[in-house]
Amino acid sequence: MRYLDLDIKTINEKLKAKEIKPIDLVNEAFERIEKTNLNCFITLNKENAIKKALDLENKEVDNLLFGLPIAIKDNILTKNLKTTAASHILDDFIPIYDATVIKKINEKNMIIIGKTNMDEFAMGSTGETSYFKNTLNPWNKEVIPGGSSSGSASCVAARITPFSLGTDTGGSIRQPASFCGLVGLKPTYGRVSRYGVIAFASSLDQVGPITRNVYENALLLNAISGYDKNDLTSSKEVVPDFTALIGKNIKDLKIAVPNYYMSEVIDSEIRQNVSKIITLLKENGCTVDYIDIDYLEYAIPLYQVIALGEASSNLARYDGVRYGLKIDNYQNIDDLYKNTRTEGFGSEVKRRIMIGSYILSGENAQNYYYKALKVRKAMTDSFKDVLEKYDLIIGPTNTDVAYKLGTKQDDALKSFYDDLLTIPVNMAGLPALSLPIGFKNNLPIGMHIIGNYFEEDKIYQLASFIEKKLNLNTEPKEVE
Amino acid sequence: MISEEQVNHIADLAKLKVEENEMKKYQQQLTDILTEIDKILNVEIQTTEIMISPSFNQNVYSEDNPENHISKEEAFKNAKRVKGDYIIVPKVIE
Repeated sequence: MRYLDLDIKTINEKLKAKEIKPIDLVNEAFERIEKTNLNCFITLNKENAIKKALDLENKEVDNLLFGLPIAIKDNILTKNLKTTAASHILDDFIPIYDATVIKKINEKNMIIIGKTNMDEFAMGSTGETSYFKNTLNPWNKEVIPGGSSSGSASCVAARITPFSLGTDTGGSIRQPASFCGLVGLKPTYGRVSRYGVIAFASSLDQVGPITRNVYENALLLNAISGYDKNDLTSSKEVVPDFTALIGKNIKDLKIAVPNYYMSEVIDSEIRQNVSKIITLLKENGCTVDYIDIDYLEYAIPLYQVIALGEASSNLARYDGVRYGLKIDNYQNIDDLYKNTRTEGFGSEVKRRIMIGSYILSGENAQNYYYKALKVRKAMTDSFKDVLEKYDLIIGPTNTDVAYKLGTKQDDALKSFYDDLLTIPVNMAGLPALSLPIGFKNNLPIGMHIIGNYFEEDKIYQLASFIEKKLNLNTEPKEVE
Repeated sequence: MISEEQVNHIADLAKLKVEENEMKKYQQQLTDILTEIDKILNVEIQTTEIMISPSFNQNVYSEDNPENHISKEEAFKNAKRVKGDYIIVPKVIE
């Protein structure tokens, strides 16, 4: 038996009783990495993790996360620990400061095991745009783990670490959590500091927890949330105990289901599974109504304009001068920029910053970008209207379960369509979670629970009810 | 389909180069994405309001207090060519 397979409260009791030590957990995590071969990690933090675990032996076990291993997506800066965003252009980059979320993880005395594999600069939905190897899905090594937080999901699914952090710009936490049978939450925009997170689209990016179950997800969100003066978009909203409503009665919750989320763009078996949950919720006293949210059908082009526009500005900083890759073959400064960027970025990233630069250039900014900002406003208003009448919105997380690695790799639109149902949530800045609710072809199906601004606790309330009722075995069979 | 000149123009905006052997692929892929994006132009919409960010914050100011910042040594740690207090780049004036 492995201690890391136990639930967090039990591990915590054993740590307190000195029945086990943090080093036992760290050793288990590294043994598991070697056994599983899933390419979850870009950089391991073995030496430091062992040192930290030994240091913790002399400290009081003062919180539930104390001494527990965690994996961090490789677009979150970790001081003196290589951080690449899975890109050639940053493949030797050593951060000189910690992201705020890392400081918070360290305050809880969690132990960072390594930096997880991902789509390059978080651009992709399969893990395949990584400059390094493809991340594999422990449910089936021939299908994608989802992305962009591919390694963060795969590693928790394979029970290497109980916790990981991902980032979500258009679905990059929820989609891989869904494909790997995990709980993944994108918090309300502003709930968690973005300071020290390598920017993709600044008005959409959020850091969030990926875990084995709902309770542990809420625990990790407790640890990373809160105002940060270094992130001007971070919120001063009070941080409640996100576990407070877990297990509370869900009777009288009002739930909305967008018609679009149950339309024919979604695989029928996925819809059937969501319908079963809807029946379950009605039987237990919830009101469930089908409703319309305006402009959902424009999510993809809306995302392409806003996310790629912002990305092209954010990625302009990679110029071969101050840090990152520098190509030595150049005639002048323009050459230095172009040769470095052409060599350093992968094709998905290049495509995206080309489109982004184009739609923000000259008159296009007015035509495309300004129009998109209006659509974003109108879609968000429509979400707000629904959330005035309802507590939560539910539907599937994805249009289907995970598909084979290498599918449609030349299709430039594929990675966008994978995020059809998750993108609108980032546009509005709302919190949303994906929760496993069943299986299709032995692959997990995820359900999406969207809440009102800063009401992550209510999302956890409903998610924990469904989790308990279904009582699914969400651990993949042996992956060695 | 967008032309080779357009692809080169777009690449130039993004400070990238497109190699000859990739030209066809980029013509096709950029056309596919731009065709998709054009759907946004046809959205019928009443509102004149825009939304740039979901943040509820307004006018965030910092106190004007001196604080410790990153040292020059640290800031230069990841630069490839440094001389004293400067990062070396190619000549930028004619």
